[in-house]
Amino acid sequence: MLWLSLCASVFMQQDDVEKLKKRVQELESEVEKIQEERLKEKDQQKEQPSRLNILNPAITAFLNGAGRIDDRTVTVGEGAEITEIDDIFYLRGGELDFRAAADPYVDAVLIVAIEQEANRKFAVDLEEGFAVVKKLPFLDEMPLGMRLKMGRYRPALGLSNTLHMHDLPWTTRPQPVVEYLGAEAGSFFEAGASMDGGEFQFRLPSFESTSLDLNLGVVRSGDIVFTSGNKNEQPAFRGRLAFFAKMSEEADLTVGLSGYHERGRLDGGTAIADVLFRWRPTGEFRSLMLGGEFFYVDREFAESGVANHTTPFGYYLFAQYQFNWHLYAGLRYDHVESIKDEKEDTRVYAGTLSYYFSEYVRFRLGYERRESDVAAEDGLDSVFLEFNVVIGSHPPEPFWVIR
Amino acid sequence: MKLLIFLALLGAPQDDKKVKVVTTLQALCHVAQKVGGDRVVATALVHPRRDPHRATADPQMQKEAGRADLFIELGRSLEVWAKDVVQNSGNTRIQTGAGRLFAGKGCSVEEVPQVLSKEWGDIHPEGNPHVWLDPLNIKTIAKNVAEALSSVDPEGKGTYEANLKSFDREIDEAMFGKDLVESEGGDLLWRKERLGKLDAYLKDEGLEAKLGGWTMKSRAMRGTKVVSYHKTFVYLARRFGFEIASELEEKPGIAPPAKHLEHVLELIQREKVRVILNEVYYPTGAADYVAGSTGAKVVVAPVDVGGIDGVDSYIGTIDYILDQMAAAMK
Repeated sequence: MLWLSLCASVFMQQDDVEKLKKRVQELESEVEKIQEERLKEKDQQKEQPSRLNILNPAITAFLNGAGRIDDRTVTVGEGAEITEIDDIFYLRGGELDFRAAADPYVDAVLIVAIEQEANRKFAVDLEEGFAVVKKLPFLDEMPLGMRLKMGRYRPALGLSNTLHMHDLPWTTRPQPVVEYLGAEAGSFFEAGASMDGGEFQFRLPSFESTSLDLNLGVVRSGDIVFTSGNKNEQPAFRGRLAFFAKMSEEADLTVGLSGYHERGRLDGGTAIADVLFRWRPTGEFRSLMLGGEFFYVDREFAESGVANHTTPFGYYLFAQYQFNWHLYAGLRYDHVESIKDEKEDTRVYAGTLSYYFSEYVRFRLGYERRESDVAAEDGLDSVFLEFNVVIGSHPPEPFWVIR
Repeated sequence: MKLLIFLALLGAPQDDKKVKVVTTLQALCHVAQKVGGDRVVATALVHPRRDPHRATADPQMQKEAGRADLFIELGRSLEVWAKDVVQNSGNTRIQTGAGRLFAGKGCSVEEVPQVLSKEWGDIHPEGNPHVWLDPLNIKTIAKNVAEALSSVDPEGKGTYEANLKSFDREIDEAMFGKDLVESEGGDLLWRKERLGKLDAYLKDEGLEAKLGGWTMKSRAMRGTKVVSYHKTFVYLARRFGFEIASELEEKPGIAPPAKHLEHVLELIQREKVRVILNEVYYPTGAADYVAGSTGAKVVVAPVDVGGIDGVDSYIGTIDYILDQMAAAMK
C-alpha cells in the first residue's frame, strides 16, 4: 500500500514537474516576446526625426570664389562704371537655397544670391523664387503630366542657362550665353537670363527608353539682353522641346530646341539648339561628357536713333573627361558674333582641371585665351583658380551635371 | 485541367490593368514582384551595378515614374535624387499618400549619427541606409510593400497577403533551413536569433542537426574580421556575426586616401583579415592594392539584386555573398 502511494506521489510530482517545465517555457516565451517588442521600440526610437529644421525648408548655402591672373588690364562696364578686374580675387557669390513642399501638390523654391560685383561691392538679389504646381484641385490627373511653374527663375533656354554658377562645369560662362542671354559684367561673373513669368511643362508620348519633354512659357518682356530696349509692354513667349534617349545603361543623348520671341517696340527672338552625350561606365569612377549649344538671334534695335537689325550666330562646344573619383579635365571652344555687329567675332579657347575633395568641395584651375575683333580682348590670356563649397544638403543638380 | 488554366488566365489581370510599380532599387523591385505576383508589373530605376547614392534623376526615370501607381524608394536619405524623379514625373498618384512608399520604415537600423556634420563624410541622418542586406529587414520591407499594394489595389489584398506569407517562408527557410523552419516555425527562430538565444535553444532542444541555410553557412565566419570599401555591409555583418574591421574609405562617400590605405593595410596584417568586400559598383583598385600586400582576398560583392550576372533574386544575392566570403576564407 505504502509502495503504491509512494509511486503515485512520484508520478504526481513528475506530472507537476512537467507542468512547471511547460509553464517556465511559456513564461520564457512571454519574456522573449516582451524583449523583442522592446528591441522594436528601440528601433522606432532611432527612427524619430532628429533634425531641428523639421517642417522648415531644406537650406543649402553655396560659396563660390575665383581669382584670376591676366596678361593685361581687363575692364568691365562703361563710362564712369568702368572697373578693372584683372589680377584679383573675388568671392563671386554666396547663395542661400530654401526649398520645401508648400502643400501636397505645390513645391516652392527660394534662392537668394549675395554676389560680389565687379566694383567689389556686394549686392543681394532674388536669384530665383518660384512655385511648381503639380496638381490642379479640379483634376485628378494632369494631362500629359502637366505641371505649372510660376515666379522668377532661370528658364530652360538651351542647356546651361538653368545652371547656377556653382554647378557649372567651367569657371566662366560660355561666351554665347553671356552675349545673347545677358551679363552684367562679362563671363567671369554670374550671367545668363533669369526671368519673371510662368510655364507649362508637359511630357509628350515617345518610344521606349526615350523621353520627350516640352515646356511653354510666357515671361515679362525686356528681361533678355537683346530686347532690353523694350519696356515690358507685351508678354514674351518661350519654350523648349527636349528629346532624351537612353542608348544603353552607360550612355545617353539629349537633343534640345529652345526658342524665345518678343514683340514690342523692337522685335527680337532667339533659337537655340543643344546636344549632349554622356558616357558613364558602371563600376568605375570615369565619365565622358560631350556637348554644345548653337544660338541664332534675330534682333531689332536702335543705336543713336537709327534703326538697326542684326542676326548674329554663336556656338560653343565642350568636352569633360573624368579620370578618377577626384579629377576631371575639360575643354571648351566658344565662337560668337556680336549682337551689335555680326562681323565682330570673338573666339574663346578654355581648359579646366577640376579637383573634388568631396561631393561638397571643389577646386578648379582654368586657362582661357580670347581672340577677338575687339582689340581690347584680342589675345587676352587668363588663368583662373576657383573654389566652390556646398554647405548643407545639396539639392539634386540637373541630371547632366556629372557629379 | 484546360478549363482550370483558362479560368486562371481569365482571372489574371491583363498587363494594362496590372498595378504599375516603379522602384529605385532592384531589390525593392524584386520584393514588389514577389509580393505583387501576377497583379503587378514592377520596374527598377537604378541599374544594380550603379551606386544608388549617386544616381541622377534623368528624364527617362521621370517618364517611368510618370506611369506608376506606386513609387517605392528605400528612404533614409539613400536616394536623395528620387525626390526629383517624383516631383518631375507629372504623376499626381505618387506625390503623396498611398502612391509613394518609403519601404525602409520600421527596419532595424544602425549607425544613426549623434552629431549631424559633414565633418564625418557623407552621412545619413536616418542611419546607415543599406538595411535590405539584413534578411530580417527584407521581411519588414516586404510587409510594407504588401500594405502599400493593398492600399493602391484593395481588391488584391488577399493575394498580396498570401504572397507575403510565401516570401516570408522563403526567407525563413533560406535563413534557418527548411527542416528547422518546418519543426519550429519562422517567428520563434527569428525571435531567438534577434535575442541572441538561437544557439542555446537549438542545443537545449537537440535541434542543431536541423539547422541549415545562411545561419549554418555563416557559422564559420562568426567573429572573423573583414574589410569593406564603403559602410555597405554593416547589416549583413550584424546578422551573420562577422565584424567589419575597417572601410577602405576613411570617411563615407569620399574616395580612399593613400595614407588611410596604409593604415588599413597594417590593420589587415595585424588582425589577420582574409576578406575585402568590394561593392560591385566601386573600382577594385584600392582593394587590389591592399590585398596584394597582405594576401587577403577581394570579393566583388553585389549590393543589389542583379548586381552579378545570373544572380537575380534576393536569396541568390545573399547566397552569392556568403559563398564567395566562405570560399575566400578557406
